[in-house]
Amino acid sequence: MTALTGIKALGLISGGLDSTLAARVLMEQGIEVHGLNFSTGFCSNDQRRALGRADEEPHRLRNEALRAGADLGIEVEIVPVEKDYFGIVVNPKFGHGAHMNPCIDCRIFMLRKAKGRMEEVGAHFLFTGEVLGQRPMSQHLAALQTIEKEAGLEGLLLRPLSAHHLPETLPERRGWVDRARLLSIAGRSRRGQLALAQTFQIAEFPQPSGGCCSLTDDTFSRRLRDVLDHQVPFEPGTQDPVLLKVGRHFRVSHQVKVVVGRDEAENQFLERLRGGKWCFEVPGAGSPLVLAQGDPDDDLRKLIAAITARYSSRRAEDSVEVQATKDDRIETIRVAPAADTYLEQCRI
Amino acid sequence: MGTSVILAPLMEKIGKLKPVGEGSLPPGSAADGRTPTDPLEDGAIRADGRLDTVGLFCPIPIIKTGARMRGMDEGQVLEVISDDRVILVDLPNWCRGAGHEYLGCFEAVSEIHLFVKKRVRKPSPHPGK
Repeated sequence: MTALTGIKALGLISGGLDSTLAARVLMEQGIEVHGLNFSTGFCSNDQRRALGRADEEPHRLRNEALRAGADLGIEVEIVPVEKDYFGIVVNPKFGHGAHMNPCIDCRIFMLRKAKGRMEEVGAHFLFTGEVLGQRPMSQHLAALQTIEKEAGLEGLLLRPLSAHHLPETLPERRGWVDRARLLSIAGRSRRGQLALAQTFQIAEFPQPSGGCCSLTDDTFSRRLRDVLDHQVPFEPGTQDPVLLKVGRHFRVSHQVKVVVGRDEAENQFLERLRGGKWCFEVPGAGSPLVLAQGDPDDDLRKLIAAITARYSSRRAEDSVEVQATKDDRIETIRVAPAADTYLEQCRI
Repeated sequence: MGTSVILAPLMEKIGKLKPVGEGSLPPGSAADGRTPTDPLEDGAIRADGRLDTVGLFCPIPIIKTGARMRGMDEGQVLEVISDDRVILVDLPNWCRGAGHEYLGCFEAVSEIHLFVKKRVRKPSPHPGK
């Protein structure tokens, strides 16, 4: 390993294979690497953790960036950015991808934050694991150049895996990094990365197809869009994003949405949020906990009771007794279970 | 914040920390495979600081641990209390990357107590950098 002593690079480390390899390629040149990972509030793993299923194996929910840092022997600093980040989710300058994912704005946001940390960390330049042509929205040549420019990092941002396809950067021109030892990976095939992983004996990395970002998930995005459209109070970094992952969601009026727990873990999660809200259950039966967001009137409470009955073990009965509770207030409502055709119309 | 770091007894006691969730501990964990004993039983372990993260989910406890450790002196020990079992994987991983020493953990009343010793930096061979 050639030692370029005293040179330090700050990198965005997701824990995926690409960012791990990018860090490793630089470390092979004797460059000291410090990792940054941003906690946006939209990581699927984080949300699954918050749900707290008793049967989840902790290793499956581990933070991959920390795991990568441990394997590489570098510090990965997790930076909470939930509130700031939500602004670009709601109103991204470069638009959303297929769902609520603001991929280009996301990269710009993180790189700007990273740039702000460079001096404190003592870093000479930034790097990412981006691969030219790998992702349709954020990793084509024009997007990479836009991201670099908008983040105010022209010349200072190195993409070691695709460096040979990109203009020479300042770290290369100054001899901090040996360009000849950088790579020319491009496109969607993972073959180059997998071969490199084998060379570096990197065995543990998450599968790329899974993705950790809830904003690329169709259902989650639809529910988030509903929250924004109906001005439901939503605070990133709290249980609010987790709630969008939990249960079946039905919008029963402009002001009222209901969430139906699908199993014991989800019921327990909803139980924690029930204070000050109407909750519905079928007593003495296998029943979901149904939580109402908003303030349902008498008619809506009957409707929600019917939804509750539909997802209880008494769904086949003509008439079911449902208990509705809000703090100290308790009502018993007898209803017929809701029809599936209706539920499909209001499902979010 | 406590003031005592009783390193010799601490290291002795670390050999007796109770493994939490045997089989789910990460490789290299100091607690792995040791004799189950409550390390606080005789007061031999005294952390210099205690961070209660009960009710919070990773990565928040890791973020708070990092912030707290920055304000501690080299070699001091922080006790982190959590009820998120993923911390059994995340905290040792964070320590491995950041160069801190993960000392082990024990469980009491559904809460996990984990101990981290702040890294002692070697003198830089390149002064001024």
